[in-house]
Amino acid sequence: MSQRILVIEDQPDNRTILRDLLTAAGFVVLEAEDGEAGIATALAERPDLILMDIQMPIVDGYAATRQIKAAPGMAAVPIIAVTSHALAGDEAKTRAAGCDGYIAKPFSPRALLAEVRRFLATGPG
Amino acid sequence: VQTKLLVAFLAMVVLLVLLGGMGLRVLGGMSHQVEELIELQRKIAAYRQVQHNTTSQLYGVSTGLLVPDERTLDGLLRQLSQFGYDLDRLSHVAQDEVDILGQVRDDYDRFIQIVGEAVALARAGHIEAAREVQLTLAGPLAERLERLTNQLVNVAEADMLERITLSDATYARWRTGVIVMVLGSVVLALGLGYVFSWSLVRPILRIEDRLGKIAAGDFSERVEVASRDELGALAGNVNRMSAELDRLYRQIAERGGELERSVKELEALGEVSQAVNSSLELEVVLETIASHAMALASADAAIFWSWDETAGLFHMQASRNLTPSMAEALASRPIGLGDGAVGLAGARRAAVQIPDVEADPGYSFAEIVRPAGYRAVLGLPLLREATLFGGLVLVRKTPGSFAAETVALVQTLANQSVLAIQNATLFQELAEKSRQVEEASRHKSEFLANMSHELRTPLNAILGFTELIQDGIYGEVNEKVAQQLARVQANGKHLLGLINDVLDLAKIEAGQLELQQGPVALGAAVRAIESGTAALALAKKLELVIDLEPGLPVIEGDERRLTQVLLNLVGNAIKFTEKGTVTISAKHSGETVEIAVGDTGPGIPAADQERIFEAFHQLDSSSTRRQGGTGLGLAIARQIVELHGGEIGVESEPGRGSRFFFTLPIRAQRRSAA
Repeated sequence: MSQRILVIEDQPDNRTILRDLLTAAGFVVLEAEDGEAGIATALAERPDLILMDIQMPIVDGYAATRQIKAAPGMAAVPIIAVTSHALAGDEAKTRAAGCDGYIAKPFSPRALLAEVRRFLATGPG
Repeated sequence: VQTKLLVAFLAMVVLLVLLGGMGLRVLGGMSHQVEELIELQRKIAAYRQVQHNTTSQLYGVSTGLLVPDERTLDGLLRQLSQFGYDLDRLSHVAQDEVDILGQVRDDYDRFIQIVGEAVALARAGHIEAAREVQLTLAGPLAERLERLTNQLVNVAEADMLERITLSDATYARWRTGVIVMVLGSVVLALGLGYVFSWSLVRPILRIEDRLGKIAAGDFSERVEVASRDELGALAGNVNRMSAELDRLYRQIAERGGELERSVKELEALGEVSQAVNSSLELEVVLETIASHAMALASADAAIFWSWDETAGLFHMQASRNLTPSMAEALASRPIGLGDGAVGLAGARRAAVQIPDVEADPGYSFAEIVRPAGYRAVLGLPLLREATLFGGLVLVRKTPGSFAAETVALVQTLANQSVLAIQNATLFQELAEKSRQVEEASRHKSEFLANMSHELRTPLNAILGFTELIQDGIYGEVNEKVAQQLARVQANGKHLLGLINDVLDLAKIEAGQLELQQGPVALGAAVRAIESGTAALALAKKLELVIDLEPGLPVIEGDERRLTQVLLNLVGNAIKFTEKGTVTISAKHSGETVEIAVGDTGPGIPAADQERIFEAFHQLDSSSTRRQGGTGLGLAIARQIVELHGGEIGVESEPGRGSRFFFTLPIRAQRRSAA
């Protein structure tokens, strides 16, 4: 059974890139347009991995990550932050919120795919 | 004193002499009386002899007549002449009783005559007749003589008795006199001694008392010694000394007061100066100046006015000790040039005094100043190079002018306040500028962060889709499309480079860039650059030369950032050089290494060599367009090198190529990113 990846991203183009990239790579892609929907989908679907944007309406990526990680049985699901917050200290902030990985935008789809595969092969690092 | 002593002793001597003289006189008197007594004694003896002679004469005559022989008669006559001698001798002795003696002499002469007659009769034999003569004539005469001589003796004895009584009386009188005199002398001597000693001791005691007070610093009294002797002179000198000391003390006290005032003035100036220099809080400075000005001028309140040139009005800026009601009254009244003390001082550009507001009908603020109890007003202009800044007004409850030196001193303080006002104004402007700059900087940082975020999001879509297309996710891509996609990707990456450079610079300028220190093998770093840029050089047919000194040390630094610097320099060199070589060299000397990138490009004019290290400065904006690049690389390179404790520079001449170099300390200097 193919692995499921939840993409939480408010920007449609970026959502499309991730969907096309991951679908082409053989993953099942779940999508959410904001943090709140992302949390609901994550808890309902229990994906194998979550790609999390940070700056989003309603509930941002930090809060969403914290809530998902705090939910029962969800702590082991790897969450990779995919964000335009690429300044010094931004990665540390996502780690503090509970993210397991960090990819700055603009990202190379190839590099992102490699990172996703690494996480799914070894479990959350 | 000497005179007094002489007078006293002279008085004693005079008394002694008087006493002695009196004694001598008494002795003389006594001796005289004794002589007189002896004389009287002799006289009495003589009288008694005469008496005796008279009796024996009578007897002789009687006898002679009884036996009238020649021998008896001769004896009788001899006796008679003897009697005459006795009488003669008597006449020398008893001159007092001349009358009686005269009678005695007369009687004696008659007696001799009678006796002579009797003797003659007897010799003639007429015994009876002689006897008759004797009985009738000589006998009574002899009796008379005897009576007379008795009288003489009695008189003499009475005289002697009288003399003795007299002598006793005289002695008693003189004795009393001497005793009185002696007692008087004793009393006089004691009195003189007492008076004299007091006349000496009392002035001395007074002088001593005065000297004691002088020693204690009391010069107020004079010692009064009326006498004109040495003590009087001493007292006079003591008085003069006291007066002189008093004068000197006053002078010293005056000087001391002057010194104290000077010290206070200096202190005030010092404190004011310190306040002006140390505090940029205008209110604090002005209040300090106001309180010192008040203390120096003995004023009761002070007001600082600032001059508003555009409104043509004075505004109260600070005050000290001002009653709220007076402050309110002053605030409610517009004060222009010529109004009140401050207006007058401002108009005249000089200090203005109103010694008594109640006596000055021309002073227009009397009804404001008077209710607060102020009488004297001093207005001073605050001037700097003839520009009016405001005024300082001092008010005092006691009427009268302020002393000229006080006015001058307070004016000095006022001038300091001008400095303070200027300082404070400048500081406020500076603080405002600084705040604006800080805000602008914060805005810039926020703007950059936002821009970074907002640019990355679409860029992510561009680069992401490009890569997906290149990877054939959306189907086969022919060669031509692939070439254009590569251009899209290259431009997208250049845009990303720009964004990253801008952010780097922003971070460096904000002091947020921190070096990730670690060992850096420069040789390896240069080789990595070489392999990374070789393709670029080759594309422009440039020779890339590597010239590494053998045994380059491993230095401490941020490898990623140092590579960024080197890459920037090599990239620039390749970019601006059309033909020739680009040389990367590295060497070390002492504690530093130097890495240089030389080229055979167009070179950089001297005037631009410093500017190129500033942000957004390529030689001209056209070259930016032509050559690409962000124009930020060198600025970032300089910041990174300097963060490592090194220096970056360029040696170049137009037409002769350029040589960029930077030095790095082998041991990293841990410097903060500021």
